[in-house]
Amino acid sequence: MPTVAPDTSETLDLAALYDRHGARLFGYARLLTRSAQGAEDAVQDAFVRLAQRGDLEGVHDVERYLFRTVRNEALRQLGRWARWRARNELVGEFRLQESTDPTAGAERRERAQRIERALAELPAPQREVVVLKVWHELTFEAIGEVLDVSPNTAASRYRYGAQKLREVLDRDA
Amino acid sequence: MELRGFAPEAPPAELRERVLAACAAEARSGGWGAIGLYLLAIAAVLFFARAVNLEIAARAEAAFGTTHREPQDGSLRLAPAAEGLRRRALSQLHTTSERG
Repeated sequence: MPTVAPDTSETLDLAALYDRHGARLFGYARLLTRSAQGAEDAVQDAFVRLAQRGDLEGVHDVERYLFRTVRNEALRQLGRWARWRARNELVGEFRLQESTDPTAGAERRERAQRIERALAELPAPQREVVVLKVWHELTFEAIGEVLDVSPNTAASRYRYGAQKLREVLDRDA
Repeated sequence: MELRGFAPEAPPAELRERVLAACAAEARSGGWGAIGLYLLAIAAVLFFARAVNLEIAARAEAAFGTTHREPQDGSLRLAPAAEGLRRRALSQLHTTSERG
């Protein structure tokens, strides 16, 4: 996994940060906001917040900071009440590139859709952790920081989620 | 099934330009925007303070009659008729207080 040393200089290289993290942040925001437009807005708002800061002083891991900011922006989009009332309802469906890619083969598209359907059967907190772990390659410690839970809780959610995902995929195989 | 072999939905290509343009606009206007907001807040507080002050003066005049400022020291005084009423009320209060 690529690691980025915190950039505490006055001129923050936002273009480099976007090139390194933008696509993954969009994928995560897409999971949370349930729409491509909402995901674009969440990513843009996260980077604007970074621009407002002007530097990354005090940020020890820029990747975690960005994922957490995108999550907060997605929550903000859903309204303040969502922070408390619908935390578990926040997570939507995870979309894979291959399922909508017309250039992908029919078999690959079908497999991608099977994964999406299997993920949709997971409880939302497990789905979020599985996506962050498998597709965004965050550590349990990083996931805990993004979701504001302990690393043990993140690991536990992943364990149950991965097990159920395997069962659903085997069942539908 | 190898899950990592499948990629998450990619962002549209134009998102990069949109994000960087928004950040550049923020960098241009961010500082002045905050200062403008601060000045606006101060102006609003001063405006409401003056409105409250005028309201208090209006109510005082309605209750006690016209007020005027003493030319010597600038202090606010009631009109003579109202001043008499005030003194009478104070003496009543004093008497009541002495009686217990």
